[in-house]
Amino acid sequence: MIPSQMLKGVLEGSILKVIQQQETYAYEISEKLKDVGFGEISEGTIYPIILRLNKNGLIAGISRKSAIGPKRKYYHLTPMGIEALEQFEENWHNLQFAINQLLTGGKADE
Amino acid sequence: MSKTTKQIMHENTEREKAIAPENMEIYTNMIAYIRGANLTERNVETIRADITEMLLDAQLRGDNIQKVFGANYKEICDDIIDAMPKKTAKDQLVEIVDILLRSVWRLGLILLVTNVISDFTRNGTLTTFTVTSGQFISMIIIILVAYGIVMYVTKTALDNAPSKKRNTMEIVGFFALFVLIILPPFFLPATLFEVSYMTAVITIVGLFGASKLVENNI
Repeated sequence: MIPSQMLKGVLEGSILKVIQQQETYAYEISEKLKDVGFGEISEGTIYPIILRLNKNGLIAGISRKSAIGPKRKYYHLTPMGIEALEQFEENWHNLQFAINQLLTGGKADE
Repeated sequence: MSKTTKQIMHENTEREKAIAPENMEIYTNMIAYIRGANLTERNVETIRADITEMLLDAQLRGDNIQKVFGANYKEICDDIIDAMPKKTAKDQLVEIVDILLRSVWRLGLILLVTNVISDFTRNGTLTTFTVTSGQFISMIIIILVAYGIVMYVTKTALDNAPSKKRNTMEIVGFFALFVLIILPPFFLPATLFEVSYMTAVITIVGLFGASKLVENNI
């Protein structure tokens, strides 16, 4: 299981990516993250992050009646969210490169 | 509160009825805790709607509230509260005015009734609406204590089961507050002000009207 401290830095960007792939809701986000290898991340962990992303204007939510029961709030990226996701992807590539270099003993200018 | 907030609150109350009994206690404590935070009523009801929807959805899947929120409810609620915009200075001022208006017209009505009963008992007729220094101080204490109790209950909603010592302290505390409320009228019987009953009624109705106006702006 990935330590929570390590997850903290990447969870927001990861959630943005999941939402970019398709309009979705909290439980589905949690399942998608689990499917790709994040481990169990409860809706309770994801919900405050969604609230923050919503407050900062990166995502917007709309309530829809679900086929089987209660209404669900589906989220999609806003233009600001798309920009934020692009920035996250760039930051991740840079970080990934630096860590790989560190772990393999390489240098940044090689 | 505004019509929209009232509507959301009403919808939430209806939806809540579908929450399973085994999930209800934790859900109620979480909402109580969030209500004690520095958030507007509208935002609290929005969170309540979201949490209810997640929980009802989870119940359909066969999951319980522990599965949805994990075990550390206080931490999750703190994260939720941190993620929401806080009340502005204007929001806080409006809320204080709302609490004061609602408290004063209600307490004024109680004083009106006690005055009427007292007048008829002693004099057989209505004389004047009188407020003593002791009654005025009791009113202030009641308002502060009521607000304090609400804050205490919401802030401790997600605490672990209280110890025997804490239970004892709470009982002693409540008793002390009760004594603090009922004593001033006995020791401070001097008249603070007196007005005609008509003036008193008009004032109380005015305060009621004002409180409704302010409430609709929250």
